[in-house]
Amino acid sequence: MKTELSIGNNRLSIASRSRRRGLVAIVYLMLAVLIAAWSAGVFGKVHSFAIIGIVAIAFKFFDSRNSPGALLGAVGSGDERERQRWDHAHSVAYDWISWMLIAALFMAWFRSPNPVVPVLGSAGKTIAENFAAAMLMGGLILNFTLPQAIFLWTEPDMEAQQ
Amino acid sequence: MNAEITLFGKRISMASRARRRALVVFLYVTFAAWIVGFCCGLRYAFFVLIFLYMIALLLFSGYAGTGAEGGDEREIHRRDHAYFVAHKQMGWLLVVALFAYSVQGLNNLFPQLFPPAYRGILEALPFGVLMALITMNATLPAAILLWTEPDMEEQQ
Repeated sequence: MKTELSIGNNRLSIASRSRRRGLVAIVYLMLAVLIAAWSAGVFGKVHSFAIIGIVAIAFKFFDSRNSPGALLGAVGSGDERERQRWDHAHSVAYDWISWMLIAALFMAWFRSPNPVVPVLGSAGKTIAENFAAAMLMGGLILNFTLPQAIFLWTEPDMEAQQ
Repeated sequence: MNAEITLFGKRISMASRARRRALVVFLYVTFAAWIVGFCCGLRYAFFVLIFLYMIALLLFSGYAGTGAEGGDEREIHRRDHAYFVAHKQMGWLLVVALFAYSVQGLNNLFPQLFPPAYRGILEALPFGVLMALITMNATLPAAILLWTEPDMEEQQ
């Protein structure tokens, strides 16, 4: 795992765990706001582009295969101990994604004839009808980013680079 | 993982990998048949299919467990690795599910794009794909374990 994050010409030390946790919290907060905005109909019908944009941003920070700004080594790489930790991070992430999918299943009810949606205003109706897709989008983003985020969140403090 | 399964008081040996794979195939074939029946609007066959699927699901979950059982360190590592493999496949399924939602949107936006005969299928598609996604999510790690474990010794 890198101890510095490069943004343009600036280098930000992320050797301390609290900073890494702050970074994870900021990225997920941004993603949550984007998804909420999409489900409220802010982006209109261009949701496909929103998905691609959101996932690309998340990949930039967390993923490791090609991005020069990546913080971690390739997923599933390293020695046996490190691979086991990757496997465990994936099994923890898997549970969270399961809850998102169960939520999506319940929310899918709002897209079929139901007594709730007609009572809501037009904004409430848009949100209720988009909720299941928003949960799926959230699940997709978690699927791509959560194991890496768990790694960043749980690793202890490291020594800063000189 | 047990070497046998009890069905209505009768013990069936699951020591061979071929039998375990057959159980996995039975689960997913009955599930696929049920979902296709649901999306195509079948009536009576739908109830037969859902009954078969429930039997397969009960057999599978009764044998494979919930995935939260304990075990020694080696067993936990193998289970974690099955989750790792399943996790990668889930990404693709999530993309398919989002696409299915978009197709329903296209159905509403451009009604002339799809013939009327297919509109019912397209409207049922997002729910069908979502059900598939949740079933795969719940069963895939255990299915990977059942599929990949080598033959076991028979219980005496």
